[in-house]
Amino acid sequence: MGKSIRVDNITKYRGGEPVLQKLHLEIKSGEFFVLLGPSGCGKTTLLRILAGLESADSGRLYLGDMDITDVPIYKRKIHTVFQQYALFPHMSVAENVAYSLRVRGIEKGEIEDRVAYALRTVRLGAYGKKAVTQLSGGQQQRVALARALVCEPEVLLLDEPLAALDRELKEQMLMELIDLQQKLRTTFVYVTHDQFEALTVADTMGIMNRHGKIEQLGRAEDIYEFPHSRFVADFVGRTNVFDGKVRVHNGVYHIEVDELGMFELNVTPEMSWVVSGMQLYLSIRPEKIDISLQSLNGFSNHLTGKVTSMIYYGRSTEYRVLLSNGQSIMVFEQNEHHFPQKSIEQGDEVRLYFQKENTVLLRY
Amino acid sequence: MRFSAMRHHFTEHVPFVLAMPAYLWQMYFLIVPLFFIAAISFVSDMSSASWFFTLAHYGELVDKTYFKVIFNSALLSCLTGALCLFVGYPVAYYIAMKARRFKQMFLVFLILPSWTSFVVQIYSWFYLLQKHGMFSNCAALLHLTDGPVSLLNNYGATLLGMVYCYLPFMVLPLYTVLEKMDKRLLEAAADLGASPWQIFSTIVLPLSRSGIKVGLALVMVPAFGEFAIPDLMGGVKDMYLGRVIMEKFLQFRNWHSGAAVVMLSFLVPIFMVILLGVIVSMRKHLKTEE
Repeated sequence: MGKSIRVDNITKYRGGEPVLQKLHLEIKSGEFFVLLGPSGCGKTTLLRILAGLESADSGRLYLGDMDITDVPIYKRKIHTVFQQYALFPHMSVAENVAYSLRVRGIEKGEIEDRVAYALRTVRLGAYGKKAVTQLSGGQQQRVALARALVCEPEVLLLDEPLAALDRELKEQMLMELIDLQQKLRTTFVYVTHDQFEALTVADTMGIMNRHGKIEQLGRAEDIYEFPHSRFVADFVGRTNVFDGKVRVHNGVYHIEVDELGMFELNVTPEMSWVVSGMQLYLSIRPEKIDISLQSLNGFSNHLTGKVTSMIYYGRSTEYRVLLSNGQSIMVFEQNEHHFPQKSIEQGDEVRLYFQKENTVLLRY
Repeated sequence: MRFSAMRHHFTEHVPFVLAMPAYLWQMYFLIVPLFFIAAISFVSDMSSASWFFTLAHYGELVDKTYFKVIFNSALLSCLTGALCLFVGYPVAYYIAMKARRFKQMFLVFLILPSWTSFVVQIYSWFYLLQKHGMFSNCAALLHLTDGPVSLLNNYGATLLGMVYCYLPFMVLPLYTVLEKMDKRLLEAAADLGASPWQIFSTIVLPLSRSGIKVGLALVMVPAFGEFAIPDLMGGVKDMYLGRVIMEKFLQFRNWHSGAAVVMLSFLVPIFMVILLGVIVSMRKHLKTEE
C-alpha cells in the first residue's frame, strides 16, 4: 500500500516568476491521482519537487507523516516514470530494471527474482537480455514502469508517460496502468495535459490553471459534470458557454442571454450564491443537447439554428450549429440507429433541446 | 527525369570531391613517406647499387639499451595518459556539467596556452621551477626547504611538462561526450536511489568510455614519441625513442637504423591500442557469459 502525500504551502520561483504559488494538495494513500493542466502550468515542476529533483523555495512536503522536504532525492522511496523514459542505453532490459535494487546493495539472487517478477508483471518476461535500444516505444514504456516499480516505491510519479505513444497503444497502456495500480495499490501521481488520459485513469484529479494553482480537486466524474469554473469546464471535455444575467420570477430562475432570450435554470438550495441580476455563465456539454428537425416535447429549454458543419465519427456525429445571435455551438449525437430515416444535412434549420438539470452555472 | 538522376549522381559524390584534398595531403605527406621509411628500414645500404633485403637493422634493436629506451617511452606515455585522465576528467566534467554560461570561456582558457609556441610554454615553466624561481622562493619562504632549490631536472618536472602540454587532448574528447550525455539519465539514476558517487560510477563513467578511449589515444600515442619535454624539463638523463630517432638521423646519419626505430615507435603504440581493444572486448564477452 502506498503512502499519502501532503503538499503544504509550496512556492517555487523560476527566473523571478512564480511557477507554483502557495500550493496546497493532499493525495490519499493508494489512490490514482491525476494532475491535469495546460502545458507550462507548473505541473511537471510540482512532480519534480515531489521526486526531489528540484527543491521548493518555501513550504513543506510530507510523505505519510514524515516531513521529506529536506530528504535528498536518492533517499526518497518515490520513483518516477519519465516522459522520454530515460532508460540507460548501456544496460540491458534486466539491468535497467535491476538498477534501483543494485544501488541499494541488495543481494544478487534476490535481485534476479525481483527483476524477473517485475518484468513478468509488465509482460516483458522474455525480454530481460535485450538491449533497451532494440525495443519499441510501448515496450520501453513498460521497462520504465518495471524499473520504477521493482523496489516497491511508496509513491510512483508518472510524467506524461504516454505522450510519445500512438492512440491505440496509449489506450491499451492506460488500461494496463489501471490494472497495475489496482493490483499494487501504490499511490500513483500522474501528470498530463491530456484530458482523455486523465478522465480514463483518475480516481481523483486536480486541475491546475496557468498560474500554477489547483483550480478544482475531485473525482473525475464530478470534475466533468460539475466544473467549478469556466477554466475547468473548458479544459476538461468540451462545452458550450452562454453569457447572461439571472432573472428570478415567482421563485423560478432564468438566465437571460442577449438576442437568444430566457433559459430556465435548475438552482438547488446549495446554490445560494445565485441571485437575481447576477451576471454568469451557463455551460451545457455538447452531448447533453438533442438535435432534431421536428419539434419535441418535454424539454425545459430550446433553441433554433442552422447546421454549418458536421463531422461523422462513426459512433457519433459532431454538429456545429449557428444560432441567431451569431454564436456557434457544438452538439454531439450518438448514431444509435443503423440509418436514420431522415438525416440532418448541412444547411438545415434545426431545433436544439436541453434540460435545465444538465446545465452548469459558472461564476463570472 | 534524366536531369534529376544526374543531379542525384552529382550530389552523391560531392562529399568525396570535397574530401579529396585531405586524402591527397595524407597520401603525399604521410602514407608515401611512411612507405619510404619502411622500405629504407628493410634494405642493407641504399647508397650502393648492390643493396639487398635485410632484417639486420631490426636485429640491432634487440638489445638491452633499446629495451630500456622503449620501456622509458612506454612508461612516460602510460604515466602521462593516466595523469591526464585523472586531472582532465574533473575539468571536462566541470565544464560540461556545471560551468553553464561560462562553458565557452573555460574552453578557450583550456586551449589558449597551445596557441603560443611550445618553446615559450616550456621556458615559462623554467622561470617558475628554477632555483630562485617562484615556486622555489615560495617553498623557502614557507620553510618547506632550507633555501632555494631547483625544481627542474627530475622526473616530476618531466611529468608536469607532459601533462601541461597534453591535457587539452584529453579534456576536449571527454568534454564532447559529457556535454552530449543525456542529463535526464542522471536524474533518472538519482530518482531510482543512486547516490552521487553511484551515479558517477554506474552511469557517467560507462557512458563516457568512448571519450576516455579517444583521449588516451590522442595523449599516449604522441607521448610515446616525445623527447623534447623530458630533455628540457627532466634534464637529459633517460633516453627516449624520439631522441634516438633524432640522433640516428641527424648525428649518426644512419638512416636505415633510424628508419627501423621509426617503424618501432609507430608499431608499438598500434600494438598497444589493439591489445587494449582485445582486453576490453574480452572483458565484455566474459561479462555477458556470466
